[in-house]
Amino acid sequence: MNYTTPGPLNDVFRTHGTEEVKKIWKKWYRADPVHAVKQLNEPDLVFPVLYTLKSDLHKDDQHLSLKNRLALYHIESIIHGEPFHFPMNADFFEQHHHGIHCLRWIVSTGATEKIDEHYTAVVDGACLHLLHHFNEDCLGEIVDIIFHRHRAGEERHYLLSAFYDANEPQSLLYVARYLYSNAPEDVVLAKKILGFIPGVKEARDGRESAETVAHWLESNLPYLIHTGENNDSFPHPIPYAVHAPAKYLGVPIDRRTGTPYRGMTPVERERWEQFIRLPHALQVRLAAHSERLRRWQRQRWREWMRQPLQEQIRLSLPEEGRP
Amino acid sequence: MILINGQPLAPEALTTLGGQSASAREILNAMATNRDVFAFSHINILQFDIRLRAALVQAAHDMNNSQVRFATFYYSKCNEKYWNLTEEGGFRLGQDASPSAAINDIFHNGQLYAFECATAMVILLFKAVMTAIGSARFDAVYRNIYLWDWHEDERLPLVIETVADHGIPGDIRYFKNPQVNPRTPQWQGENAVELPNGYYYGHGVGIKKADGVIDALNKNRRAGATVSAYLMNRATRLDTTRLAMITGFPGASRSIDRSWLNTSVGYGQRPFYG
Repeated sequence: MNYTTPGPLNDVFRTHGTEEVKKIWKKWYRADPVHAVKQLNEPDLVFPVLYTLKSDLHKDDQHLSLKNRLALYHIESIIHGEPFHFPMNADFFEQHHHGIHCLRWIVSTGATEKIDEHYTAVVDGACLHLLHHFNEDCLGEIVDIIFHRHRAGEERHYLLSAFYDANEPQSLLYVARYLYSNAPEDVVLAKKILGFIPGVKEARDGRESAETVAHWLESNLPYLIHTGENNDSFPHPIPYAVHAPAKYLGVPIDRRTGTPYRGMTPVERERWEQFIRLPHALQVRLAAHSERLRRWQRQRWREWMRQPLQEQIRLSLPEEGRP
Repeated sequence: MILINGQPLAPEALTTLGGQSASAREILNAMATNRDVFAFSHINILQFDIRLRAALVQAAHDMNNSQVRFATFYYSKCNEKYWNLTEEGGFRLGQDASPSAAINDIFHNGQLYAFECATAMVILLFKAVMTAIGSARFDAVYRNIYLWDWHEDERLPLVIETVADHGIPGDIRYFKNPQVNPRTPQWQGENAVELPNGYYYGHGVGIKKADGVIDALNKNRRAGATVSAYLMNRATRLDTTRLAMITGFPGASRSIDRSWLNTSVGYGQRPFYG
């Protein structure tokens, strides 16, 4: 949270807490309502201050800035289930951008506070709207909030499931950053989230775990399927699984459906059909061999792919270090 | 298909093991007729598994008939005589509270409790284990219980397995709602105990067939949603072998204990088949 910005109400909140904010702002309002509201409309105001004063404010007060009014609508929408009406006549696309601006402000200036029993739901609601309504990339911020709340022992269930459901495997790297943390609880949570990646739990330290994540993404990203599993569905979710036939053939797929992005040639189709009849463990091994060969020795890979499947298996064995 | 120590379970053993308990027969049949393999090191572990599953099904009915309410993690509540409510919406067992009494209190004083569906599943698992091993043993093994989400407890070992064919009563399944309305994240999915005859118990939706659970979830999708909620193809199950070791269940014994088959753990007592 950014407390370095100036602003008397921010300072009061930081040094004396919510009760003092209420007391001082009410005193200002009695003395000079215009000045009091102007203080709230300062661009540097942090969201927790507005939230603290929500019962003294009205979402339809024309003197409040649009950002503040939208935030009050959002608060009521989350706490009381009220419909979220846009409070002014504006072009639809303008509304969209005002909405994003307000929600990002809530998250960036208020995510790590805890004001009352509703506050966490209000912040979570802002994150979920950004992610699912506005398709805004805020996964880095969401991961930071999850780890902050984990350290503080605060509620994070819905943010974590939103992270899993975002279907953005590269965002696992945001989590992998916490493998380097000096706080042991960060490393525990990062390993729990990333533990579905082979080798992460077994690694000797955080650095080795993080390298395992990076290597796994490098090798598998075009061939990942989003399974839909998250922390709500299973104690040890596997959010992404490697599509072995696609990896074997080097055909990138749509993460949601497993459908190849391009049409396959008849030869590729035949290979695919043969490949999926192999035992699962052999599929995994052969796909890994194919991907390595394709990445490092493309010409040799092309020659290897021209061999019959049984010959491919035989040729792959020495490189796997097996008899 | 059931394997005991690598060998298929003999058909006559099905009859013997099924005994007089409807629940045992139902669970055994579901395993035996399944294309998925259910492998146990010893027949006593299979017995323990059936006993736990029957107890879990009964616990689901008991929770459905209790007055517990659904609440998001933000608004969880519990009886503070037994539990301490944590900032993340979990229930930590009180220092002097009896674990078995605290778990039973959730079912007896349900009006004092509100929690999410994942927490409900963990409560049901503890209740099933308690029924299966008895309160005294439960109290000895399960000090310091923490009920929150799918919080890991190494004394409650769980495995997640693919359901290629059909589930077994006592499985915990998940109905996913991929296009949930972001305003109601609690409807993102439903954890549910698989019951006999195609029914499921989910905390918050009650006992319904799969279509009923899916309908309830679909009512909470975002505007313009095109993807329906669906039942995922994996199941959360107790790791019975490890649990037997942790709780000291007589799985190592070579004798077949049939005494439990005639107890009231079975679920033939209420007309819940719909």
